[in-house]
Amino acid sequence: MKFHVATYILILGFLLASCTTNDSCSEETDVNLKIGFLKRTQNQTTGAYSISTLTIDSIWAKGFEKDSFLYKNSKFKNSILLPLKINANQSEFVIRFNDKTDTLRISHENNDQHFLSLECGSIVTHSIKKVAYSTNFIDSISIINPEVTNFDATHLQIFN
Amino acid sequence: MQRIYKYSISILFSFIALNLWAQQTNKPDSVKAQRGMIKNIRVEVDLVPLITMFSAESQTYSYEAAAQVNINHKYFPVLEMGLAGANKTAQNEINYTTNAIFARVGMDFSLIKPKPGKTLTHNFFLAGVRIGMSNFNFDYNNISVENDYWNETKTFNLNDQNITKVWFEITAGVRVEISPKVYMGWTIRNKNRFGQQIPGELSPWYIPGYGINKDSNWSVNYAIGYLF
Repeated sequence: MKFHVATYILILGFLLASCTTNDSCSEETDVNLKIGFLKRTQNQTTGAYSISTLTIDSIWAKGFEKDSFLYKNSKFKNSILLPLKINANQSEFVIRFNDKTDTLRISHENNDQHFLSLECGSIVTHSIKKVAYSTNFIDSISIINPEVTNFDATHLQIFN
Repeated sequence: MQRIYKYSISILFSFIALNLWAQQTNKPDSVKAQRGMIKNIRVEVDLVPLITMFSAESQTYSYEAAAQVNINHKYFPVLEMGLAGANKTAQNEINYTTNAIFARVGMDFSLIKPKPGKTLTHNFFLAGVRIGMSNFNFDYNNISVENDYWNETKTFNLNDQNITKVWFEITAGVRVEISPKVYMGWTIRNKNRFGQQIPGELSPWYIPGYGINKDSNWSVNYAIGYLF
């Protein structure tokens, strides 16, 4: 009698100990180029330049030769996120700042071996090599962080 | 937290069951009657796979056996070896497979010390440590990266990735003689990896002998063995 009771208890114990795994991904998998907007202002008295965050009243942004917009008359933006191509080494965008439009061409290298986990899979990260742009609104662009990954960080700064 | 709760319940049930079995013991020996350091060698095999193999959700398997030496009823050096593997497809359709041999060496210590002149117990309550190692190949298949805005997809496989993993374990367990020279008992293990996981570095989902690739794992073995 004790043998049978003990056997059932053991089996029940092992069933409770059965291992289950969590299949959901808890990491960020979006990889976007983040561009911040800044304004360089000269002090009339001292002549020194100061830099401040610039808020764009109305912004439109889309990929070159694409019909769909990433930003369509978005209001009061001081930064935007743009997805770079994963199968090409150059991504081009058209951005309208209020009433002025500029094009932006990003030359980048892609790393498709950035593995996150079984649940999250893999992402393609980018290394920015060169930035070319028109100067209707844009005065200059600085590359402050060339590595574009799934971490939130500003990569380019556009000065007006 | 849920997993710790499950293991705690399992341990409680196992302990209750073993206490019921341990009522029958063989005629005990006196400490003085046995001479020499090595008293006996016990060879055992893990029974847990016999139960988990019937689970439809089981995506991993692990078979293992062990040989343990009894030195003066105090020290129990042990060698454990086994075959383990995994075949898992995640919700994102990525498939992971591996299959390899693993090994552990270690030492158990009896927490019940035999007193001179007293009759020997044939039941043991052991605590110990292990060092485990496995060198294995693993595959990730059907990895897909998509860029919805640019309508791009990149699909690739990562095959025959070779790696060696080492870990240490803290163990505790019970061995009860259920009939002459036949032992049964459970061992609970807390496993911990050596080394840190580097972000972006390809890592295996499952490590044979260790389990799912996390900083720490808990597991339970239930073994049947024979004394030589």
